[in-house]
Order: sequence, then C-alpha cells, then structure tokens
Amino acid sequence: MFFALKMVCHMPQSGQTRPYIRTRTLATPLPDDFNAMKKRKFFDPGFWLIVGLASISGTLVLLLRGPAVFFDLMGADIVFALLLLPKILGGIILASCLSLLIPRDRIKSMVGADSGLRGLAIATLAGAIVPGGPSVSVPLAAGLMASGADLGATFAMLCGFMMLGAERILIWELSFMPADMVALRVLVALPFPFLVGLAARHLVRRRDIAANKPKVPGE
Amino acid sequence: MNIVIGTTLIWIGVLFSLRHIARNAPERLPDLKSRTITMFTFMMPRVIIGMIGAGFLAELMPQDIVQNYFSHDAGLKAVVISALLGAITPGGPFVILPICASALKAGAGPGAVMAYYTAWSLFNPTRTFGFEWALLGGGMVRQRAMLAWPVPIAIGAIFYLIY
Repeated sequence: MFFALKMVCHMPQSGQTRPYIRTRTLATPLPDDFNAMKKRKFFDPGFWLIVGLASISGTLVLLLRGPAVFFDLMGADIVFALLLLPKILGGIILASCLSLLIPRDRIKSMVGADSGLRGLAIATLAGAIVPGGPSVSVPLAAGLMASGADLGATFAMLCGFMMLGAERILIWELSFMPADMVALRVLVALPFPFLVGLAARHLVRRRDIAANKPKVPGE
Repeated sequence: MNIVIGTTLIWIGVLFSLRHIARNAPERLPDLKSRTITMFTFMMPRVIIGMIGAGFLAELMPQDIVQNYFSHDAGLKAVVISALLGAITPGGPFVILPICASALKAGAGPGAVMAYYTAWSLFNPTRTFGFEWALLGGGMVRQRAMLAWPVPIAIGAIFYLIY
C-alpha cells in the first residue's frame, strides 16, 4: 500500500492546483456542476479505448470462434445492456437528485475532506449497502463527489461497493463459496476501503502542499 | 430476476426522491431533467459497447487454463499471478464465481482464489471501462488503480497464511 502511495505521489504534476481531479470530468467539485458534462467531449480517449477493446476482441472472436458465436455473443450482450437500461437511468436520476436532496454543507461535513475516519466509514457503508450494482453505485459516487465528498471518501465508497457489496455477498458469493470463507473474506477486506481512502487523502494533502509551495516562498 | 429486484428498488428510491423535490423545490426539476439526459446520453453508448467488448473478452479467456493454474500451484507466486488474471477477467459475478467455486473444488489454494476474486472485484474491465471510466474519467480510474493494486495480493496472502 505504501509503495503504491509512493508511486502515485511521484506521478508528474500537471501544473493545476488540484491535479487529482481533471476539470473536464463530471467529478469537478463545484456545486451543481453536472452541467460540466456538457463541456466534456463525447468522443474522448475513454470512448475510443472502449471501442478499440471491443473491436479487437470482436475481431479475435470472429476469427477464432466463427461468425455464429460472434453474432450470438453480440446479440446476448446487447439484450443484457438493454435490460440494464432502466436500472442505469434510475441510478443516474438518483445521483442527480443527491445534491438537491441533501445540502452540500451536510454532505461536506459527512464525507468531506475533514470528515476523518467517520466520513470514510459512512462512505464505505454507503458503498456496501446501496443495491443495484455499478449502474447505480458509480453514478452515486460521482454525484457524491460533485456534491462535496472528497477523493478519499469517494474511493472508500467505490472500494466498499466493490469489496463489501452486500447484494453480491448475499446473492452470489454465498451461493458459490463456503459461508466461513465468505465471512473471513469480509472480515479481512473490511479495513481496505479505509486504507485506500486514507492513502488518497494523504496523497491529496501532499499534492496541495506541493502545489502551494511556489506561491508562498519563505514559509 | 436479480435485475428486476434491483431495478424495482432503485425506482422506488427514484420516485421518493422525485416526489420530495417536486414538493420542495419544483423549480429545480427542469435542471434535473437536463442533467439526467446529458449524463444518460453520455453513458449509454459506452455501457453498451463496453458490455459487448467484455462479452467477447470473456469468450477469449481460457477459463480451464485459469482453473488448472489455481489447482496446481498454491504458493504465494500463485497469489500474485491469480491477482493479475483476476484484474483482466471481464464479466459479472455470474462469470467469476463459478470459476472460483470449481477451482476450490478442484483443490485450488484459497489464497490464489481470493486474490483472483478480489482483483476482479476491484478492477474488472467491464465495470472499469463501461461505468467508472465513462463517469469519473481516466485520471480517477488510474489513481484508484494505483492506490488499490496491492489489496488483492494482501488479501490473497492473508488467506494463504491463515485459511
């Protein structure tokens, strides 16, 4: 963990005061900044990366497994994505509602930069109990960050959802793995969203200090 | 069935939230609508293309080789390699958990299986490219990955030592 932190801390600085958040992303931490999405390019590198991965893997399937398998898989995945559509739409509406339902000051005090371990615990718990999978949790994490949560709490929420998600544990893990193994996994995994959150906060503090240094020479 | 239950729960939350906003701040509804449309049109093509790509990747993954590897080497080296394999395994829990279960039945080391499962939980390409990258941007994905990469190895090593 500390080695990883060291690596991140030595990443090249982009010259921005808060380089850890790109201004073009949804997560720009300003109130009501979902409108920043409008400024974001639709065909960004992320989009082309997804298209590239799908094209390469699709070509390989076509060549290695034949057109029948290729079209079967594509049809099944399109149907699955369409079935997910209402859930994704719901997740996005919930995330958009978040900043209107809970005042920004409240979110900041709960999961902001100064919320301490309690804030990380709230974020981890929120990630673990929110149902609906990534189509809900990831928009909620983005909404939370746009409404005042800091990077540490956002990462803690994402890791809480990924490693301790109650829905996946109850429905999937317990159906496939021995219960004692699942229980031990949850126990062992419990500290890690906190550690990732703390590491992210440490990183942000170091970068803020580094970014402010040239402005206050002699201090 | 899981999709139906999840979707119903989410929409109960949505309807409660919308009712609350319509009663207390109806002037914000047009803004909410435009936010939702912007975000949805941005995300949907990425989700669909990401899912198709993940389906193809899952077909190309040699699952039997992955399972055999777990079964024949249960040391710490297996923990590291299975963490790497888990990070590149696409698909949902219905893909990954049967692999884990049959690997365990075939006598795989619990450390390797847990490292594989945890790495998949944290980095699976379907969610990373379909949702996280689309919504949070590449910079955040990269930073989270750089902070969280030791976690699967740590959990695998703990299981290797105590389970």
